[in-house]
Amino acid sequence: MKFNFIVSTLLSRMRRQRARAWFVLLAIAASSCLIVWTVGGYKALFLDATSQDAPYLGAYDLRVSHAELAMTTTRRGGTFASPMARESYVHETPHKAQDDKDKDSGDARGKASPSRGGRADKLKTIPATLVEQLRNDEAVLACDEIATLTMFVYSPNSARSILEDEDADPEGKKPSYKRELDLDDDEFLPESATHEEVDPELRRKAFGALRATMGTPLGMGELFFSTTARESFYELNSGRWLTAPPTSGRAPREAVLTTQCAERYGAKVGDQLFLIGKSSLIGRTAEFQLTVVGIIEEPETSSFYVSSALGAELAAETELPYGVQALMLKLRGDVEGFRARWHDRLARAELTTTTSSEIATRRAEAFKQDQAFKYQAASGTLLASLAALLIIFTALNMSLEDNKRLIALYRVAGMTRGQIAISILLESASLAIPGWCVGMAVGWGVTLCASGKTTALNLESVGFSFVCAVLGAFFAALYPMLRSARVRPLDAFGERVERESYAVRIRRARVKLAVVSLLGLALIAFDFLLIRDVSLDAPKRAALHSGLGVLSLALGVAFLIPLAIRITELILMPPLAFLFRLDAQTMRRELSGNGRRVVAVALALSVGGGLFVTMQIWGYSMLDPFLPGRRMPDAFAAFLPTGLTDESVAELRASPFVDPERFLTVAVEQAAFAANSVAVPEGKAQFANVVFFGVDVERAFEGANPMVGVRFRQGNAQDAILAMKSGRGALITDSAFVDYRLSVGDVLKVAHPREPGKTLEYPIVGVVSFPGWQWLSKTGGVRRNFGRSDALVFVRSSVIEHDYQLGAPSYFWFDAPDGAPLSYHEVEARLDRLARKNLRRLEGDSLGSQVAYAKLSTRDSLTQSIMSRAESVIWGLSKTPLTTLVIASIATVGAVANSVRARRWRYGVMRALGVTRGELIRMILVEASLIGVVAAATSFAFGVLAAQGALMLGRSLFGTENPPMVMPYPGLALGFSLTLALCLIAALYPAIQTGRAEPIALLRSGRAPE
Amino acid sequence: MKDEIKSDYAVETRALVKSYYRGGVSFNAVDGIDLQVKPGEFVAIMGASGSGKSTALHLIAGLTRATSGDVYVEGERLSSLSDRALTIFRRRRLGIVFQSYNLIPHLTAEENVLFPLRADGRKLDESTRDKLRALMRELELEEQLSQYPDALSGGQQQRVALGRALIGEPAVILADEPTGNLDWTSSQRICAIFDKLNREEGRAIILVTHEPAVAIWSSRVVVLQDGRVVSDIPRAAYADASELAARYQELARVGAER
Repeated sequence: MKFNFIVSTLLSRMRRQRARAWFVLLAIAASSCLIVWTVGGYKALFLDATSQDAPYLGAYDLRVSHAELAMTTTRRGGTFASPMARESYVHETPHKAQDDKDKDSGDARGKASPSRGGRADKLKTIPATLVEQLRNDEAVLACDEIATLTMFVYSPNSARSILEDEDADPEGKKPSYKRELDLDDDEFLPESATHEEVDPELRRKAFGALRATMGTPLGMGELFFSTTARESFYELNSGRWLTAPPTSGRAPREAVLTTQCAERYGAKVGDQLFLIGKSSLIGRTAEFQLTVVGIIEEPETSSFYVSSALGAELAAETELPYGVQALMLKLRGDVEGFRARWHDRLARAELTTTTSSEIATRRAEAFKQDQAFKYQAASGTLLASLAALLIIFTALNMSLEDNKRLIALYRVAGMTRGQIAISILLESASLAIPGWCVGMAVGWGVTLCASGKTTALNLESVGFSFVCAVLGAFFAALYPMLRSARVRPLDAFGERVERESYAVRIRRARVKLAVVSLLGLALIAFDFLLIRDVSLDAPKRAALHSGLGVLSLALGVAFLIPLAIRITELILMPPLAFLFRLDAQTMRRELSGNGRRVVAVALALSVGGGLFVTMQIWGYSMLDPFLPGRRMPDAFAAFLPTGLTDESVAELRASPFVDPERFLTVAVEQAAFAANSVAVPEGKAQFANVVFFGVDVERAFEGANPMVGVRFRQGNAQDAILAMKSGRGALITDSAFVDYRLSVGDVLKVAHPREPGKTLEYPIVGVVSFPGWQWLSKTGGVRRNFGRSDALVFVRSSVIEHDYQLGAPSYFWFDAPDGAPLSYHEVEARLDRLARKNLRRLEGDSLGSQVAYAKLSTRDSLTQSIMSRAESVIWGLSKTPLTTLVIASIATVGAVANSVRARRWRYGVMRALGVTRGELIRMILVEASLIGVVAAATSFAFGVLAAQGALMLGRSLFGTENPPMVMPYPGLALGFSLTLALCLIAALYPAIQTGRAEPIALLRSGRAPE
Repeated sequence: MKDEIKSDYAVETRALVKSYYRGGVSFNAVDGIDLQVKPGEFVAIMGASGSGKSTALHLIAGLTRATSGDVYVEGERLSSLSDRALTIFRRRRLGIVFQSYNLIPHLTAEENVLFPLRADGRKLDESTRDKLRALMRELELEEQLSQYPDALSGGQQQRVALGRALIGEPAVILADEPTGNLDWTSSQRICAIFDKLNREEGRAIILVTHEPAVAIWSSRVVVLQDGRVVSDIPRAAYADASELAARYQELARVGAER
């Protein structure tokens, strides 16, 4: 009976306070949604990455490939879903000597071409006899070959732009490439400019014109799978699969793209793609035009599929290594039986078989070991749970606190403390449980939409959100329950009766503020001590930081929110009051006088905001060492494959875009570390080589304004330069120090790329930082023997030329004269013309089969290229926190609305005393915007500290450099604007509603004992 | 804002009606009140709980809009003013005192008093400061200027509220049961201040009360019942508070019998 009484009292109160109940429900639902989104999102990502059902081999049962390729697993690049991992195909086999063919062709030309060595590629292919045997096996229904190529690809847009260039020609002339090729208006570029079909000079012109017109291709070389498959590997999204090539003649020029690839290039069925091979742009190069005939539903890999006949033609034209690298088998009957039967024969040929589920298992294991993901997921979950707990607590607690007078009335009317406690508990539960259910449903929907995985709603997200809802509700109820025991009957009648005067409370609040702020600082310091605690190894520190450290950091920042509120109030309130024509004195404590609510709102918004800021700062800071700074010369030009004669060098130096006083010839070679000379870190085998830059030491490093600005991390410039000038001394980039612990005093030992068994030694005289060298070496055409490299080494040019018997100079660094008006494309076109002119100088009028071209890398083009790639990744990672921010803002609507409702009496007084409706609305909105500022400041503080922690940990955990912190202002501005906008939106309705109310209504509702 | 006086009355209401819905049924809290208050007149409005006296005062103060009828303050028809104009009119021409003081807790006594001027964007120059000091001296609050409301007694708080109502030198002072929360001594002290303001400064005062001992300070007493004026008793009609109380009781009894 008594219980019924309590329930009926509660229900009648909640009916009367419908708006408040809805706001609390909304806050709890949004908080639960936040957890489901965060936990579920990470879980979905994990499940997706570790799915055992994924058709990694498409419609095939088994893949046959070399054992080492079969083991390749990686999460990056989304390459798992490919028939084979991308890394398997990059043809980077270190420690390989030049193959005989290359050597012969170089010698035959009688020139010491710098590219003579070409790349020491050596494919591991599957013998044709074995392919035949497999095909003849009765159990084999289909046996399709796979080979790969890497080619540069121009987007259909670029292609369209040259085809439609006529309109852009002001004088009605033909577009540049047509002028150079002497083509009619209705003629297009030859589909394939090959030796047989097109005049070599025309081909050269076409190539130069294309490059001049279309600029640098998108990407650094795309992966082409050539296959004999007659059916699509995966479901066709649009178009069709490749047609069977004719038995004789040219293969159809058609390609099928994966969905990701089509998105990257903005390609659709029917579009034309321009290809230039090969990826390093060293050696023979040819260009092709392919038609996109289909797009397949393969979401993770950006790659192209072509028929094996076309693949062979592309390879032949570009002299790329080519051969069957894998076989895709469809089997009849028992797959395991087949594998057992073939095991020995395949093993003898160093081949192995793999099923979809094995790829999935390896992928799952690799993913489970991914520390960065683990830490991100743990930190994200922890922060989301903490925020949800606080939002739920605050929403419920505010609601109960606002009812204090009513609770006092209950006491006066005869309810016992126990009955009131039960009533409070019931109220919490009755709001928390439905809110949690709604939040789960919405969170599941959001995650489902974002990830497409029904598994998003899992035990973890249900559990976490339930614990937060229940704990939040319990703690939210506990405090008012304790307070209700102390509620005096007088509280039911009068104004709020405080035990201390306002002045005393202000003084006490100042002391509290100081204590809480100091505690906040101590908690932040604790996290940094954890990060720096050298007694623990890096993974342990990272794990501790992700859990305890991030929690400590978050709490520390949260404890600093009251200080942020006070500072914001002191600094920003007066100018804002002036700007919005409000009374500063009236406004001066509106924020701190409403402290609890402001803290709750700021904290809720700071979860998403903080993670967003962390992601942005960390992402761009990590990027910084890769961006070329002002210390790098303006441009790096490579003339390939022949290099330049002395006459051509002089012509280049005299070009209008070259400052002749700041011109360097660079002797380039790439060599692997000598066997056993360094300990190669796990997973770094493909990187275990260095690129040598032989330079004029004096011009490069000496003087008041050296051309190449390096920062010494070890050694000193004076001694190092002396050692370089007088001997074989080498400056190595700090990446070699991080990965191989090579430092001053050590000797760098490398294997001669073309003379097996010959080791060359260079004493290290300095370890330097030279930002941007990685991308320069990637795009500058200097990775001559391996696709990747781990360090740049500066040595005196004569040493490099002698050691590697380099011929005509091919690489040049120069600064542009001040005010040089030429664009990148103009400069590159001029350099191309110089390359062709130089070839004529070398070969006379009897044109051989050589193609000569120039490759230009400017500091700006490098920066743009890096930024365009990195930004998509950083913004991809920032999406989750931004969504979290939006969800959290929904949770704060209730808090903001309740905060306004709680002060209706005060607003009523102000209105009665002459504050206009507009002023009141402006007051509420100014307050909301200041809450937004506090939330943004909190997000920024957390973001900066968390990013700093991550950067510090990154050095020890991932072996990366400790880069300076970079502030990506546009991204941060977006985050802050969003936070401010969300706060204002949350306050808009309560502000307008309060403004529209009559003064007497405000006075009455404020005094009503609800 | 129009400041020119268009009427002989400081306050005039014509057929003033204010309806509310309670339990889905409409009822008139104020039901056709016609009231005229001359400049310099001190009028007390008495009535039982629910008689509509506070609502009538709120209508005159422009804190709520009438359902029908008009309120004129210094000739200005309040219903013709926009909300903004009405607010500005209220802060410049009216001084309002509430039963529960309604002081803003985070402002000191001085800041509370100056609030209407600040809301009006007026510069707090030396003459304003002088005026504040004089007013606070008058109200005997010089020592309490820097104190927050919760450090003041009820009487002091009400005097601060009175100071806030007077700082803008309003033509009309509206007081809604200003002594309702005060003891007899404090109550009489407040009444004496009202009386002085009326006599010496000639301010029109409308004071809502149900206490004859307070109403007796006025020049006439208007009695409301069920939202209507049932009696308008001039000061000459009663000798003291007990006589006024007797007349009021009689009116109440007759009303109840009706």
